[in-house]
Amino acid sequence: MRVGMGLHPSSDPGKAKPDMPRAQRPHSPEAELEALSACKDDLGSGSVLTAELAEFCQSGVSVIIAVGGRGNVPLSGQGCACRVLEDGRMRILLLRRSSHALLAAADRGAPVAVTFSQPLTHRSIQIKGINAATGEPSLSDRQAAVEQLAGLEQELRDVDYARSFTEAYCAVDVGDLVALDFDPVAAFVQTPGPGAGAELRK
Amino acid sequence: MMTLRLPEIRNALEGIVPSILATADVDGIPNVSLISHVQYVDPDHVALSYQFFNKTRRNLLATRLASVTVVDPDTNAQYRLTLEYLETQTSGPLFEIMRAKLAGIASHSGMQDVFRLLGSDVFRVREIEPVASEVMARPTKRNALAAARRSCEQFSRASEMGELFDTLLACLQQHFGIEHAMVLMLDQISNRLYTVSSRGYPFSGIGSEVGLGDGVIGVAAAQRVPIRIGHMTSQYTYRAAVLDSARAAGLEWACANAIAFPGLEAPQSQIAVPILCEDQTMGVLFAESTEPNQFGYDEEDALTLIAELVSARVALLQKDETAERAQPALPGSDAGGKAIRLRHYRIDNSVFVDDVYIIRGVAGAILWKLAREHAQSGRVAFTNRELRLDPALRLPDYIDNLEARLLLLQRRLSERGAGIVIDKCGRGRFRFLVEGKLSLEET
Repeated sequence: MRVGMGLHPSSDPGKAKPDMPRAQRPHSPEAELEALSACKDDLGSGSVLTAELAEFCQSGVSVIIAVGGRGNVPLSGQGCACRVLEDGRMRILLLRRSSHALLAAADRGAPVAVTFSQPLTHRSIQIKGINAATGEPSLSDRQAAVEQLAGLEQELRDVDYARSFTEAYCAVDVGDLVALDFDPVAAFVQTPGPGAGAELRK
Repeated sequence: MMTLRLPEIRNALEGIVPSILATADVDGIPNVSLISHVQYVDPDHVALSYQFFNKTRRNLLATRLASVTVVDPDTNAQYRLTLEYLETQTSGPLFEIMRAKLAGIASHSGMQDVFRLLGSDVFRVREIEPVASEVMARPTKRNALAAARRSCEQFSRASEMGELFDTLLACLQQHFGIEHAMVLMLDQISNRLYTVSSRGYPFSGIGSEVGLGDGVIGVAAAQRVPIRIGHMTSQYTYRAAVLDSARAAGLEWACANAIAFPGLEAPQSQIAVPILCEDQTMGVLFAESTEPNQFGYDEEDALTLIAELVSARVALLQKDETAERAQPALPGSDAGGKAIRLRHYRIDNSVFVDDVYIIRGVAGAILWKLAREHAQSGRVAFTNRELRLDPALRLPDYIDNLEARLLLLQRRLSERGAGIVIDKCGRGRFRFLVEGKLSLEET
């Protein structure tokens, strides 16, 4: 019998436990598109993000990233947090030690894609970006990374991952953070379901 | 440093933590999404579930390349795999393995109405690269290989089939901590599996049936591969499946007489491993748990080894008995005693003793044959060989599972207190003992 699997830390061995679905009311692509068409408030005519989407990206959800590599071999990785900058650029905070190849590709000018996904609802948004550049994060960036990872950790715990796992998964060494900035050029709904993949255009 | 190989990182391929999949189009524009799981296929290949025709799909068909980051749920160790797309399988063993696993993941994540497997995309693994992360010590777990060895040593000493299966299930409890398990054998005539031994349930369910293709047991038998699920899902339950198939066959009355399947009401983890004989399904070893994610790749490997040895042992037991010669009939032993009324229904060979349903199918036909000969001539001693040679019983030539059918019959008669005993008296021989006076009716 397996002992250490990541889920159900509180399970009492031998005692039946009802299976709680992670997302009892999952988000849907249609809901995303409806919300967008109803939305008037945005961050300016040049932005692909509404204020609500920008808030979602910075709310402590899962941040995953891909950077175009050499010969159409993309590189997948994980981000710690996101910030939407005043000039409309987006900043993804990554751990340098786990992102060397991605950062090198971004510095070569490769395009990026970032998907933000909320574990509790599966609501997912993908942003495509160009003109990527890496740099040192500010103090407030480091603080944002700590806060957003704490938010993600709580979500993961709410969907039943063991505390030992969520603590390791969301651990952050603020001294190791690096900033990857880019211009967002398109946003897509990526919540699983019919309509997934549709571009979010205002 | 040793090069990382896929078998060493299989725990990250369980679908417990979603994986990150990146692809790019022909212009190098990347696309990234979370995927429910990456399936281990063999030391050089993995498969991804194809669920929607989306940008990822278009990119894969165009560039045939992907990068996937996977996470070990026990240690948080992370790996980036560079993958080369080979083909998509839309049916067959790999597809069914992934469909079952996805059903559990979908149900657990509240996405049972959204996730649907359209195909298994098979990839060659070009490179595995460790990704720095906060790694925890691996939790202590049972050594599945050592448990398999101890189990095999024990059940291999069994001299007959019932003892073999009972010892096997006891070993699963003792060495693997598996509390709920059963052995089912396949009836190739009806294409149904019937329970011959079980452990850890309120009732034995001996004789209960599962159709080929129903639940993880039926799918494992049909596809001849181990099938496992880490979470409860309504798509793979038996109670409904068994009754539905009986109704579909027009056997309304059979529903009332069907023997209840003993499985757990709400299993979280289930594993079904086929017992194969020369690549054909002979039976299924099934285990389940009320806890999620109890059976991983290591448990699957261990139970597969065990099933191999069970198959070899069953073949040996059957081979030994075919060498036996038919014994002359002994005088009857049913002088006096109570009246025992047997009713046989030709339509499906079901047999009732004093209005209590006992068995149907080939095992029912065997019981009826034995009872008739006993009633006519008082015959008590029989051999497996003569049953094999009796054309009326229509046993398949290949993998007839006769020994398992006799075991099933013996246990059903004993459980129901029918007053009839099948008494094994040496390999390939048994006695048919009746504790009263038989009367026979045929419908």
